[in-house]
Amino acid sequence: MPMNTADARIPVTVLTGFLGAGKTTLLNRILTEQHGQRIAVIENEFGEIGIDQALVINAEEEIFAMNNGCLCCTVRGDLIRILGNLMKRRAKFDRIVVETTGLANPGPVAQTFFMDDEMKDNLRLDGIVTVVDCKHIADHLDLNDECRAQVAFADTLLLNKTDLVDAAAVEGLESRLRAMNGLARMQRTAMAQADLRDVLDLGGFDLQRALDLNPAFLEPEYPFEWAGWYVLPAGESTLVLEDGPDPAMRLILLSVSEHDALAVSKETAIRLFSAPVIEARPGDQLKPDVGCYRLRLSQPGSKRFPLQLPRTAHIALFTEHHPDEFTLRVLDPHGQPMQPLFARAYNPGHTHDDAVSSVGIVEERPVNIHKLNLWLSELLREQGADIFRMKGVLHLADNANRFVFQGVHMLFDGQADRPWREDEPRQSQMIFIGRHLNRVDLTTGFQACLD
Amino acid sequence: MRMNRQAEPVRIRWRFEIADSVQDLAWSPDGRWLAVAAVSGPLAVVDGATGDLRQDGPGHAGGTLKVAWSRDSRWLASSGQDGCARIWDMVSGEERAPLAAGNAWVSGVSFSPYADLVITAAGKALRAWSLDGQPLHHIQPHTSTITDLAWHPQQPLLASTANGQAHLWDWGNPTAPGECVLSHASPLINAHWAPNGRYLVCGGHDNSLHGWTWPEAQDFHMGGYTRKVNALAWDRTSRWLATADGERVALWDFGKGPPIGHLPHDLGGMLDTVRDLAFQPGGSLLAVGDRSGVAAIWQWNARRPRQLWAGALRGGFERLAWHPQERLLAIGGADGTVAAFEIR
Repeated sequence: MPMNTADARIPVTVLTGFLGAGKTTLLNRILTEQHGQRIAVIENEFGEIGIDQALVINAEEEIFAMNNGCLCCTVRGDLIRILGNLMKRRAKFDRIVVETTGLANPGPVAQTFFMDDEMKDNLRLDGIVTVVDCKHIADHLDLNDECRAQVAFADTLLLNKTDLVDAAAVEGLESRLRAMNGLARMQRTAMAQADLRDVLDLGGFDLQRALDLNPAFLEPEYPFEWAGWYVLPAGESTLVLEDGPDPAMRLILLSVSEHDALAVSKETAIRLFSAPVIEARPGDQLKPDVGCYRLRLSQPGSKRFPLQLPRTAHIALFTEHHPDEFTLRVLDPHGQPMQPLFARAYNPGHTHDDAVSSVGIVEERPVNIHKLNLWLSELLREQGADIFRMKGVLHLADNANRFVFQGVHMLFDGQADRPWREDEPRQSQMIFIGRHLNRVDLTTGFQACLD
Repeated sequence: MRMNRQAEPVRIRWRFEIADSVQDLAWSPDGRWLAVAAVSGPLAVVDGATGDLRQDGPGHAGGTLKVAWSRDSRWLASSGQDGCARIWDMVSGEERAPLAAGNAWVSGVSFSPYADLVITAAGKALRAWSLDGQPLHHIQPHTSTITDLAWHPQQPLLASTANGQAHLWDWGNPTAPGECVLSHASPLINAHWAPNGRYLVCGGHDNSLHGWTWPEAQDFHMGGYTRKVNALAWDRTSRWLATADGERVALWDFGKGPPIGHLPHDLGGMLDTVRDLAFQPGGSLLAVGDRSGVAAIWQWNARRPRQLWAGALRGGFERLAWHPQERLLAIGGADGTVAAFEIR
C-alpha cells in the first residue's frame, strides 16, 4: 500500500436509490448548479438527462464475476470500460458521478473500484449516496433485499419527499435507518433540494461525526437489554419472575466495586453472554461472577431464584430481556422489593427486523497491521457476503500517520493518511455494516489484533 | 571537433499533436497512411513518410474508439460512442453514409482481410456490412458486451471475445456465417491470433491468459500474473508471445506448442503500467511503452532479448504501431503527441 499522503485519484460518487426516489432530480441539480466542479456523469441506460456542456455517458448495466463463481467479486464490466475511457480525459473533469438503476444492489458498483487494478490506481470511491423516498421506503425495506443493501451501503442517506409525510413518520424512519446503518449522514430534503456539499464532498471516514450523530452507535447491539446496579445486604435475597413472553432468559450477576461504573462491568458482561450458559431452574441458588445463567421460566406462576451473599455487596444485574417483560423483582432477605441504585436499558441487537445493522469499535491501543490483515482476510472469507461495508481509521504502532481503509464485501484497500494531530486522541475506529453481524465476535476479533 | 560517438539508434522522423489522448493508431496495409483517433473524437490521417496531414475531422460525437483499414488501403473506417461506424474513401476523400451499428458504443470495427466486408461490434451485437454500407447480417452471439475482434491470419475466421466466451465466426459466406464457441468462464478482454494461425490467445480480467489451438480448439491457460494482461503481441515467427500485466513484461515461448509447465522469460519491469507493446511485423524488434512515458525497444534473436534503446515521452504512452514494412514505429501519447520513430 502506498504511503503517500496526497491522494491524486479522481473521486467518484455513486448515486443509488429505489425507483422514483428522486435520483434523476438530484442528478439534474448536480449537472446544472454552480458548485465549481466539473463533473462527468455515467447514468443508467434509462436516464433522460442530456446537458450539452457536461460529459454524460449512458451505461448498460453489465455485471460479471472477476473470479470464477465468486459472487462477492462481481463488478460492473460496463463501468470498467467507460471509466477506462474517461481516465484518458481526466484533465477535463474533477469528479465522476455514477448513477445506478433503482433496482440495483450497489455492491458490484462499489466493488469495481476495489477489484480492478486500473480503477483502484486512478479512482477513489468518495461516497455512496442513497436517495430515500420517505413515503414508500418502509414497504420497500420490508420486501426488498436490494433496497436494504442500498441503505446499508450509503455514506449519505438523503431522506427525500419529506413534504409528503408527517414529521413523526420521518423521525421513525430515521431511527430505523440509523439502526441499519450507523455511519451514514442523513439529510432531510424535499424535491431533492439537498446541500450538494453533503452529496459531493464526503471525503474521509469520520467515526467521530457518526458518534456525534448517534451516541449509541458504538453500542447498538448488546446481548442484553437491561442492566441494574443493586446494593444487596448480607443474607439470602431472591429474584422473582412472573410469566413472560419467553420460556427462558439469560442473566448475569456481577459483583462490582463502589467505584466501578456500569460501563466497565458491561464489558465483562458482554464476554460472559457469549460463554456457555449455566442452566438454572426455579429454586436453584444463584451466585455472582460465575458466568451466564439461563433461567428456565416455562413453568407457570412465580419463579423464585435465591441469591446468598455473605456480606453486603454491590451487584450488577444484566438481563437478556427487559425485566418488565417478566415483572422481575429483586427481594431483600426480608422479602422487601429492592430498587436499583442505577439502571439503564440497552439497544438490543436482536429486535432489529431488518437484519442489517452496524457495529462500531473504538480502541486506544495501537493496532498490529499484520494481525489485522490476517483477521480481516479470514473474517471476510467467511462472512464477506454479509458484510456490506467496512471502514476504519487505524492507530498503528510507531506510526505518525493515520491509516485509513475501507472495504466492500470481501475487498478492502487502505493507505496512510495525514499525520495525527496533537489535539486528537490516537485511537482506532472501525465500523462494519452488514447482515447478521455479531458484535461480540467482531469486537473480540479486533481486540486480538492490538499490540 | 567532432565527438566520436555511436549514432543514436532512434531518430524522430516527424511529429504532430492531436487534440487529446491518443485512443487508436492504425497504419494502412500499404504503409502509406497512419490513421489516428483521439479519445474525445478527433480523427486524423497523416502521410507516413512526411507526417503531412492528409485529412482531419471531429470524428465521433462523445469520442472515437477504433480505426481500421481495408486490405487494399483504400477505405478507412472508424467507430465511436455515437452508435455509428464511418467509412471514408481515401481516393476521393469522401465519407460514405454512416453505418448505424448499434445504440451503444461501437467498440469494434474491422475490415475482412479476405473479402469486401466490414464487421462492427456494438454492445452484444455483431453486424456485417458491405463496403457501400449495406447491412448483410446481424447476430447476437454473446450474452455480454463484445470486447475485441481479431481476424485469423489465413482464413476468413473472426474471433470475438466477451465475458465468459470467445466465439469464432467463419465469414466465408457473409450472409450465413458459421459459428464455433470457445467457452471460458472468465471475462475476456482482448484477442490475438498467432501469425501462423495456430493459436488464439485472450487476456482475462482474472489475471490470466486463455488460449486455444486451432483448428483443434484445445484450450490452454497461462497464469502467474498479478494484474490483468492489458497488452499482448505475437512475434512474426509465432514463437514468442509478449505480454504485460501492470509494469511487468514477460515473453512466452511457443516453440514447442503452448508453454504448459514452463515459465515465461521475464524482461523486467517498466516504470509504470505498460500501455502497449508491439512486435515489428517483418523483423525482430519489440517496442514497449508505459504510462509514465518510458519506452524501450528490444532486439530479439532466438536466444535472448537485447535492449536496443530506451527513451521517454512527456505525458506517457497510449498506443504503439509498427509500420507494416519499415523499421518505423508510430507512437501515440496521452497528451496527444503523435510521432514516428525510425529505428536504425
